[in-house]
Amino acid sequence: MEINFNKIKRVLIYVFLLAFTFIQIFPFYWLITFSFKSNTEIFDSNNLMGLPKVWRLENYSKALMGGNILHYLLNSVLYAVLTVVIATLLSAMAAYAINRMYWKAKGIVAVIFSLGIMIPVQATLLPLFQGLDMMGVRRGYLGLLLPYITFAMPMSVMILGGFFKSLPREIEEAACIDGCNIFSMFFRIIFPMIKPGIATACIFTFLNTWNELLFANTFVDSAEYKTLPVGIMSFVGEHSTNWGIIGAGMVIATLPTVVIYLMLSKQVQESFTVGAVKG
Amino acid sequence: MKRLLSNKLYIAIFVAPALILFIAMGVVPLFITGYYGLFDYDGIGKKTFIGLQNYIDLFAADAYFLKSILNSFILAAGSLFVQLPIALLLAILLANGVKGEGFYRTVFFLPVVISSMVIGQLWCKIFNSDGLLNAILGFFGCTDDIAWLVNSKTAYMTTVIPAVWQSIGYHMVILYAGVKNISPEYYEAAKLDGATGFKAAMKITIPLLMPTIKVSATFALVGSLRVFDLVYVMTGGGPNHASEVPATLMYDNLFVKCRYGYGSAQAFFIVFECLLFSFLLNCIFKKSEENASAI
Amino acid sequence: MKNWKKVAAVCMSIAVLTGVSACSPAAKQESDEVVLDVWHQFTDPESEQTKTFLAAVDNYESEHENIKIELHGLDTESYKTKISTEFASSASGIDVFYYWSPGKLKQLVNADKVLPLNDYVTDEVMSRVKEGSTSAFEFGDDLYALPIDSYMMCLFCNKTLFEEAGAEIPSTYDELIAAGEKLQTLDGVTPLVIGAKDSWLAGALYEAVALREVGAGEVQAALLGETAFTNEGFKRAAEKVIELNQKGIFGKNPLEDGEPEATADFLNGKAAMQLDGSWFAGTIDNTEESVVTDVEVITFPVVSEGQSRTDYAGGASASFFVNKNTDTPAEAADFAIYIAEQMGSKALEIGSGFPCWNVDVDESALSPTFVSLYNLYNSVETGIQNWDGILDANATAVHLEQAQSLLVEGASAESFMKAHQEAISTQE
Repeated sequence: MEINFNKIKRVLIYVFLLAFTFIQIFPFYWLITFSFKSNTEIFDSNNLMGLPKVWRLENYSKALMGGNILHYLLNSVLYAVLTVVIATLLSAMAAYAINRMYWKAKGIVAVIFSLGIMIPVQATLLPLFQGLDMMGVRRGYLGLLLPYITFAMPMSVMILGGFFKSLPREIEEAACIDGCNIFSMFFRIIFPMIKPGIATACIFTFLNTWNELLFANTFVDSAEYKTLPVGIMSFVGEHSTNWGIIGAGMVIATLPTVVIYLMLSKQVQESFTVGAVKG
Repeated sequence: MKRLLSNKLYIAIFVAPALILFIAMGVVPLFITGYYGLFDYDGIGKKTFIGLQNYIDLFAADAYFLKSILNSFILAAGSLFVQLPIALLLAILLANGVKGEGFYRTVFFLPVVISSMVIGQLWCKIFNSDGLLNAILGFFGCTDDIAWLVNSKTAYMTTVIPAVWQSIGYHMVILYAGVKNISPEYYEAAKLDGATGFKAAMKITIPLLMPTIKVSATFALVGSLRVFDLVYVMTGGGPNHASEVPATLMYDNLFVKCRYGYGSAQAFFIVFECLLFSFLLNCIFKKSEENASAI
Repeated sequence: MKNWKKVAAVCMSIAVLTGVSACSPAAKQESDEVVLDVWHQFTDPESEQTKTFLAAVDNYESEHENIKIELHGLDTESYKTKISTEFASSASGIDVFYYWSPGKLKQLVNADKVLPLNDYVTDEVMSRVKEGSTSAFEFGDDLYALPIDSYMMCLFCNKTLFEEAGAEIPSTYDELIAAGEKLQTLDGVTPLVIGAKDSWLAGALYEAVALREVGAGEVQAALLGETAFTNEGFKRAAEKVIELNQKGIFGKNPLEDGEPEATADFLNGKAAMQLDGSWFAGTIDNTEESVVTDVEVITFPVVSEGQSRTDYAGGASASFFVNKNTDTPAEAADFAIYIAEQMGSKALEIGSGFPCWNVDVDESALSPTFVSLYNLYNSVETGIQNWDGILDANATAVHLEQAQSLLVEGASAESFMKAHQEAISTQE
C-alpha cells in the first residue's frame, strides 16, 4: 500500500509538471511561428495558433541583414557582460556589509537600496538624461552602462541579502581563527558559498540589461552605441510594419538569454555539493 | 571576528562604491522627480511652482488615480497568494530532484525571457472575442462570446492573469536558488526525526527559506504596485480607464498628455506607496524570520 | 579619522573615473567642415521612404563637400519620447529634426526651441511649393518648415465583396448604412473595419463624419478655439458614429482590434471597407499574399444628398525643422529645405503621399490603387488634418479616448460633447 501511494504521488507530480511545461512553452512556440509569418497571417483572426502556411525564412535574413543588427548584438553583449560583472560585484560587497557587518546605518542603507526596485523608470528618464548630459558621459558606452549598473544593483543587493542572511555565523568565526583577512575571507570563502545567489542575481541582471529599451532609445545618440532591442525596433515603420521581421529579431535576441540562463542555472543546480562543504 | 566585521574602513570599502553610484544615479533623479512634482510643467517649456497642488490633486481631483491603485492591489494579491505559492511549489519540487530537472527549470523560465510585448499580444489573442478562451468556453456550452478585453468589467482581469502567470518562472528561479542554498545537513537531521517529503518541506525548507521568500514577496508586491508593461500593451488602461494602474496613468501624463509635473507627482507617490507596503511586509515577515533562526 | 581619509580617497577615485570620460570624446572638426546632426524616424530598411531619404542625404553630401550629415534615427514612438526629452534638456546634439505640426510642434515653438525659416526660404524656392500647403507650419508670421507631402484619409472598398453582397459603393450616409446592412449578410465579413484599438483610428472615424456635418472651416476654427465647440453638427456626428456601431457596421467589437488586425482583415477579404490614410494604397499594392484584387478608393460619404465633397481629412503634417540653438543655422536651414523638397518630389512615385511641390507626374509609373487615389485627391480642395495633429497633447488625449468611447455600449453623445468642450477650452 505504502509503495502504491508513493507511485500515485509521483505520477501526479509528473502530470502536473508536464501540464505546466505545455503552458510555459507555448509563448515560445507562438513567437517562433510568428517569426516565420507575414502580417496577414499574424493578424488573421482565424489562424491565431497554427503553423505558418509559408515558412518565411526571409524574415530572418532581413532581420540579420537590414540595419546594423550584428554590431548592435555585440554592443548588447558588451553592455550586458560589463553590467553583470560590475553590478554583481558591487552588490555582493554592499549586501555583505549590510547583512553581515556591524554598523549603525545599515538599516537606512538597506532602505535606500530598496528604493531602486520601486522607482518607475519612466519618471527618472528626464532627470537621468540631464544628469548624464551634465557629467558629459551620455554620448558613449558609459551613458548606458552607468544607469544599467545603477538599476541592477538594488535587486541584486536584495537577492544576495537573503543568501547572506542564511549563512551560519560559524563560517566567519572559523575563517577568523585561521587568521584570514576580510578580503580573502569574502572572496575565497563567503563568495563561493552563495554561488546560487550570485548566479541568480547574474541571470536577472543579464536579462534586464539585455532587454532594456527605454534608456537605450533615449540616451544613445549614435548608431555606434546602440543595442539589439533598439535595432529590432528600427524595423517598425510609421505607417506599416513587417511584424514577422520583428518576431525574427526577437527570436534571435532571445536565444542568448536562454543559453546564459542554462549556464547560470546549472551553477545553481550544482551548488548543492558546494554548499555542503563547510568553511 | 566581530572586531573585524565592525571595522569602519572595511565597511566603507564594501558599501561605498555601490552606495555612491546608486545615490548619484538613482536617488538623486528620484528626488528631482519629486521636485518636478511641485510644478505645473509641460516637460519642455517654463515651470510654474504650485507647491503641493499636484500631490493633493492625486486624490482630490483625479477621477482615475484611486481606482488605479485599487487595481494594482488586485494584482498584488494575485502575485502574493497565487503566483508565489505556485513558484514555491515548483522550486521545491525541482530542487528535490525530479527526473529532467534541468529541462523543467529552463522551460518554466521561458515566459520571463520573452518580451512583454509578445506575451501581451499572445494573451490578447487568447482573450479576443473569437479567441481561444471563448472557443474553450463554447466547447463547454457557454457561447456568450464575451469580448473580455473591451468589456469594462473584465478588461483588468485579462491583464492580471497574464501578469501573475508570466512571473511565476521569475520567482521560481529565486526560490529554487534559495532551496539549493539550504545545507543538506538540516535534512539529514530531520530524517532522523522521521520527517521526509512534504513534512520536511513544511518543517525545514519553508522556515529556512523565509529570507528568500521575503525577497520574492517584496519583488512581487513592489512589481505589482508599479506594474506597467503588460497592462499598457494589452488594454492601455481602457476601456474608459477601467483597467488603469498607477504607472499607465503616470506614463500618459509624462509622455502623452505633456503634464510632466503631475506625472512626476504620480511617480513619486508610487515610490512612497511601495515603500510603505514593503515596510508592512517586512513587519509581517519579521516574526517568521525569528522562528527560522530558532531552527 | 584616518579611515575616513581613505574613504574620501575611494570616493575621489570614483569621481575621477567618471569624470575622465567627461572631457574625452567630442571630436574636434576641421575648421571648415560643418557637421549637421539630423534626427529622423525613417529607420525601417524595407520602406521606400527610408530609401528615398537616405539617397537624398547622400546627394546632399556629394553636392556640399564641406558638410557632413550625421543621421540619428529611431522608430516613431521612441522617436517622439527622445525628441521631447532632448528639448526638455539642452538638445545640443540636434541641428535638424523631423516633427509633426502644428499640434506637437506648437509646444516647442511656445518654448522658443525652433528656428523660423523666414530668412532662409527664398522666393525662388517658394515658387516651387504648392500654394496653400505651408499653413500647418506657420505660427504667427513665422514659417518653421516647408512641407513634404500631404496625406488623405479615405475609404478603401473591396469591390468583389460589394458585388457578392449586391451592395453599392456608398456616397451618402444613408447609402453607407444600406451597404453595411447588405455586407453584414456575408459570412465572416465586417462591412467597415476601423482598427479602433489604435485610438487615432477611432478619432479618424468620428472626424470623418464631423467633417461632413460641420465642414472643414468650422472644424478648424473650433479646434483652434476661435469658436466654441458647440456646433450641433459635432453632436450629430457623434450620434451617427453611435448609430453606425449599433447597426453593426464596424463588426461586433470594433475596439478589440488595432490597425494591423484591421489591415489583415481587409487584405484577407474579411472586411469590405477600411478607413485609413492614403499610404494604405501602398500596403494594398505591395502585399503579395493579399486576396483583394479590385479596390475602389472613395472619400467618406456625405451626410445629405448633393452636399459638396471638396473637404477632406488630411494635408501636410510633418516635415524637417531646425533647432533654434544650432551652431550652424544657415546650413541647417538649407538642408531642412532641401530634404523636404527631395522627399516631397518623390512622394507620389513611392506612394507615401501627394507632393506639396510642383512636380510633373508620370501616372504610368504609379501603382494601380494609387492612380485612382491621385484622381480622387485632385478632386478635393480644403484639407484638415486629423485632430490629433492639431489639438494640444491633453486635448488630443481626451478627444481620442472620447472617440473610442463612442464605440462602447451605452455611449453618449452628450458626455462626448461635454468632455470635448472642456478639453478644447483649456488649451493654451
